[in-house]
Amino acid sequence: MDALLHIEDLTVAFDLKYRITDALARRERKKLIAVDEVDLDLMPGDTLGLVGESGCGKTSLARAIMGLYRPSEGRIVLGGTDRTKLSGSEFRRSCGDIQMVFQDPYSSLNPRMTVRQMLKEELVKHRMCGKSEIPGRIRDILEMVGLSEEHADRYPSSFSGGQRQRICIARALALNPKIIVADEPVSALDVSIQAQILNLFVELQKKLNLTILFISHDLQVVRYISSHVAVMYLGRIMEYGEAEEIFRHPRHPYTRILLEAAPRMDVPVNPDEVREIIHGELPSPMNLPTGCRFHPRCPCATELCAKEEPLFDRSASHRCACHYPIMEDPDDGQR
Amino acid sequence: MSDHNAAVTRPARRKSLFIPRSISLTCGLIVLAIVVVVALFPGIFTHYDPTLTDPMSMLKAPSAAHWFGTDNYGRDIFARVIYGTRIDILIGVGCVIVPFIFGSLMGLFAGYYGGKVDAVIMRILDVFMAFPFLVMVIAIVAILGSGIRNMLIAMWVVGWKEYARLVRSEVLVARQSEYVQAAKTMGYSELRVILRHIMPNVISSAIIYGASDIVMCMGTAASLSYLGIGVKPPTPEWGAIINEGKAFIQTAWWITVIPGAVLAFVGWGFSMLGDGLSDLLRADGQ
Repeated sequence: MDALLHIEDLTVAFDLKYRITDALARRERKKLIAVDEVDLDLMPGDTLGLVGESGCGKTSLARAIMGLYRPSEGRIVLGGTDRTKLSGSEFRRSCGDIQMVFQDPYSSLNPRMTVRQMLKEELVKHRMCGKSEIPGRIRDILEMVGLSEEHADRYPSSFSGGQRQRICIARALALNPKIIVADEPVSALDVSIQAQILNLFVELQKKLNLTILFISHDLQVVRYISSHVAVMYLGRIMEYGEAEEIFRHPRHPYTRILLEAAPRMDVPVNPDEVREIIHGELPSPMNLPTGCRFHPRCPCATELCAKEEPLFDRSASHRCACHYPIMEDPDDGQR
Repeated sequence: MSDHNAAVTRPARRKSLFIPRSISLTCGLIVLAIVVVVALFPGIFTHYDPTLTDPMSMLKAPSAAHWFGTDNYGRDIFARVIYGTRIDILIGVGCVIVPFIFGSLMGLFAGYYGGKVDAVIMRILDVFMAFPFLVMVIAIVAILGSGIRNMLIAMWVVGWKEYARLVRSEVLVARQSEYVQAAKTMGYSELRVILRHIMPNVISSAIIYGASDIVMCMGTAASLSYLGIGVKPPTPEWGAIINEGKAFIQTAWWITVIPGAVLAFVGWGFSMLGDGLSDLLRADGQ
């Protein structure tokens, strides 16, 4: 099966401010590499969970896919066309195929537009339906996300966080997208509301056969919703595979540590248990470590790791960028 | 689903503007109403002709016949103030509306595009900032010649900078917000993103400034008339009336003081209006 969204060698770099004093001191122009040669494939109907610490480039990757950041290298192929090569008007027309749900439902809705104005603008601008069908379509979309028509003529300020996120999802769905990019869509919500929104994603995914790129730092959430998982560290994908496989048999030491670090609800805390915890701070993306970028914090790192960057087998179903992947998991079955 | 029935009972729209929300807004609206009625129908407030001279009643103190007294040509000051309202309001509003639109657009573009566009607009603005407001206006009027039209042009040229600065600073914040990012991912054109999505959220401080700017423009117009380069006599304009009275300040104080007090009163009214609007518009965004 062909990938619906094919990302190849995607690099997003930001130029850092270059001051006159830097020029006088003959310092080099520095770049912050937020996303570094990322390859990802999104199969139709998949829910790909993208996990990683804050600052690892998850959001930059999402925004580059959406066209909000211009990638410095690489291709983003959506349905056969490379989005990075499209002209302004072609790009704008293609926006209906891929839509985004943002992290903060409080700032992602225009405070001066009612729900109806917002949805109508989309439908009209993208010529989704005839003028007479618009009210009916708006009703259908709102019902799809668990709201009703009586909510349509209100401003965002009269909704709660969960309702706002429903509106954001409605806004994304109005254009009948093939792909939804959800950037931490539940992390700003109360725990009690998170489950509702997650279930809505699952339900809509089944009903509309959506493909979802779901970004989160919450492993429980990702495990619940995803069919595949990609683990990101400092702009690189470290491990990729089917969700259950990754959660049961993590191969990359970083994935393993990440899973260990997450508090678990189902097991009582055992004070004698020796847990591998991550040491040190996240290195600066302006000054990446040599070799494997995880080696300064990795418990299994050797000299080879400091010298050579491990390669990523792009064809394998479970890929891992590590010189010493964990092949046998001694805790098999626990997780 | 508990979260999404909680807000159902809340009012969907804000209440009518005519329900007094604050004392300042009410005061401002009352003054505005008086000023508008006087400007539209000056004839119902006085039967005197504002330009008719009467040698028999020169420099008369305020009385039942002449409420605000008369000037050195025997003209009724009350009638001149009433008929002057229309001119002063036109100057005040006319001075604000063009800089408001132009300055806000410049601020929107400078803030949204940043980089070179921003640098060019802001450097032009710096040039205007470097000159004192009144000196610049006087210089331009001196070049173009006096009269209401040239005075308006001069005020337009120097007046837009504050609006551009205000709007730009708000756009710098708004363009980072997720609703603007969302509008971009919807595939809307940049002009639509700027005018439909950013503008309504950043314009309130410019509107508030505009209300008080009307007062300042009326003050400036009065100053120019006072300096003799604004409205030409015998047109009744408040600044011009004050100017004409200055020679008689010791013998006939009412020619300068009363129109000055009227100017101050209207100015206070518009300030109140701006104050009230700021409460209203800021609260609306919540």
